Amino acid sequence: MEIVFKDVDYIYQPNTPLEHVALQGLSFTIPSQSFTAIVGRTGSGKSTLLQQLNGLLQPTSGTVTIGKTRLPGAKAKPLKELRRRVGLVFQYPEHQLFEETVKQELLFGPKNFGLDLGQVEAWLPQVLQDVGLDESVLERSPFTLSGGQMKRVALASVLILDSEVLVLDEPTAGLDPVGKKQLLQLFRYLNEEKGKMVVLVTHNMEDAMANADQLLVLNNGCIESVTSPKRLIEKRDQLEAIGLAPPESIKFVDYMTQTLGVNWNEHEATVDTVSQALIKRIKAGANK
Amino acid sequence: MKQSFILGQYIPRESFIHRLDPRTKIISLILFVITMFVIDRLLIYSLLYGFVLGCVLLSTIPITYLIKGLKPVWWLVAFTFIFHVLFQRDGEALFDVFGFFIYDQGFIQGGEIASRLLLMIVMATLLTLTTPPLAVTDGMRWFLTPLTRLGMPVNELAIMMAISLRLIPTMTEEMDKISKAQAARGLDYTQGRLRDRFKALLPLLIPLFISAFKRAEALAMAMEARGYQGADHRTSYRQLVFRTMDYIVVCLMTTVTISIYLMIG
Repeated sequence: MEIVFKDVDYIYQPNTPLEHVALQGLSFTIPSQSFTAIVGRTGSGKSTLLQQLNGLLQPTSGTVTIGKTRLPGAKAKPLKELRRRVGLVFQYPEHQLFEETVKQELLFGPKNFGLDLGQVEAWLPQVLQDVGLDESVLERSPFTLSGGQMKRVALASVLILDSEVLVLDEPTAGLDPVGKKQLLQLFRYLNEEKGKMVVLVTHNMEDAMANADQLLVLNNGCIESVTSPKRLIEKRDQLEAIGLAPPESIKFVDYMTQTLGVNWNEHEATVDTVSQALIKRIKAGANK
Repeated sequence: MKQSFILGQYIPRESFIHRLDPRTKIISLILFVITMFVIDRLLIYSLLYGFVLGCVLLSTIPITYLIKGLKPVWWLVAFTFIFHVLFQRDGEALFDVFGFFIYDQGFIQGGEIASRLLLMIVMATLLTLTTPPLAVTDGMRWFLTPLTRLGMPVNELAIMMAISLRLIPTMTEEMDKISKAQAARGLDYTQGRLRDRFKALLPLLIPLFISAFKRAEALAMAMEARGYQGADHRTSYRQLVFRTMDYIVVCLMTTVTISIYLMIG
């Protein structure tokens, strides 16, 4: 399933004194089964953009095509079908919990979409394991859980829909570093092994660069660029100009180049590749 | 967010009405309402309509915005009017519909009461549209201050009011977020049988209440952490200033109200 935006504008409360243009002239394509990160500073339109992906908001002008569904213009039934195929996890999803037990919470979505509940229940342990929760939480009230656990339950309640596309708004905000790494690994796994399209919204360039194969940079409701992580590093000055910090690893490389005069050819983004290159150099130096 | 009901919203502008002191606006509103209940002639009603229209124009708030935003009110006004036309039993019978008489007084009284309702709501909306919520609270506090002598906790009431007003947009936003999050999980409360629709409200209301309680708790903590101990003897950063224009408006409004009262009485 491919997602195509064509000249999309979105305006909040049009024709009123509170009118606010959130998105302007967006045109881009998210290829099927890709891992795309949407980055931009606060207020750049990330959240508005993400709600277009499952029809919660529909473009004021222009079109969004998601698989066979075209927005605006879809009727209630295809819209619901679209929401089943595009799972969306909002920022702070723990605020949406309401059921008496975690199990009921997880079955809420499948019930609404009319999935086979027997099948879904058999799948519960796997989903819980995926998000790093113990099976014993199933019968507990979600409100007795810790903040991090609640977040995982909320995430699981969308994952259980097994949708083709997974849209995540700052899914790791407020989690400890281990939990954060674990979840990012899960998203990578879902993308690489299960062939799901993942759209990750974040302002953490580290996470975006390390995981995504396509980066969509938003600034003031407009597309700044659509590139691969590698290409974006070459334009890092531009990033800082729009309020995004390049990853620490890149800053480190820059520092090495400037102060130590080390000529650094690798334009790799992640901590792993930079440290590997560093090790290679140190070893080479030691052998001299 | 869809354009919601505008009652209680504030639209910052730089108009004459925006610049008036909140107390001036509150007094004017009260005087206006008194006038409206005193008069009983259609001619003066048309003057009131003109006055309201003038105020709206002065406030530079687009009339279309006001009309759209008060949609639920139109229904109420129309209902009031029709109810009076149908069930008023005074005056001359104008015509009958299958043995059911419609009287001229029905039109007159229906028109009067619907007009009162309409004009009152438009003026009250105009007050909140042109005055920041906190300024409204400050104004109310000023009017209630004499009651502190009678032991009324005016300052506490004012801060309660300020907090509630402040929380309305926050809660609306929260509701919007929650309903979207549940819609993403397939919740649909616009379709199905009435019973199902009511049931579908639970996933919205429970998270909303929980977040409201959490917010209240956090706010109480934050206030205590900053040493809040009741509101007695507090000074205010925003001082209300009565300008020449305010005196003129209040005098004008009072004079007009009294003269209308004398003319009719």
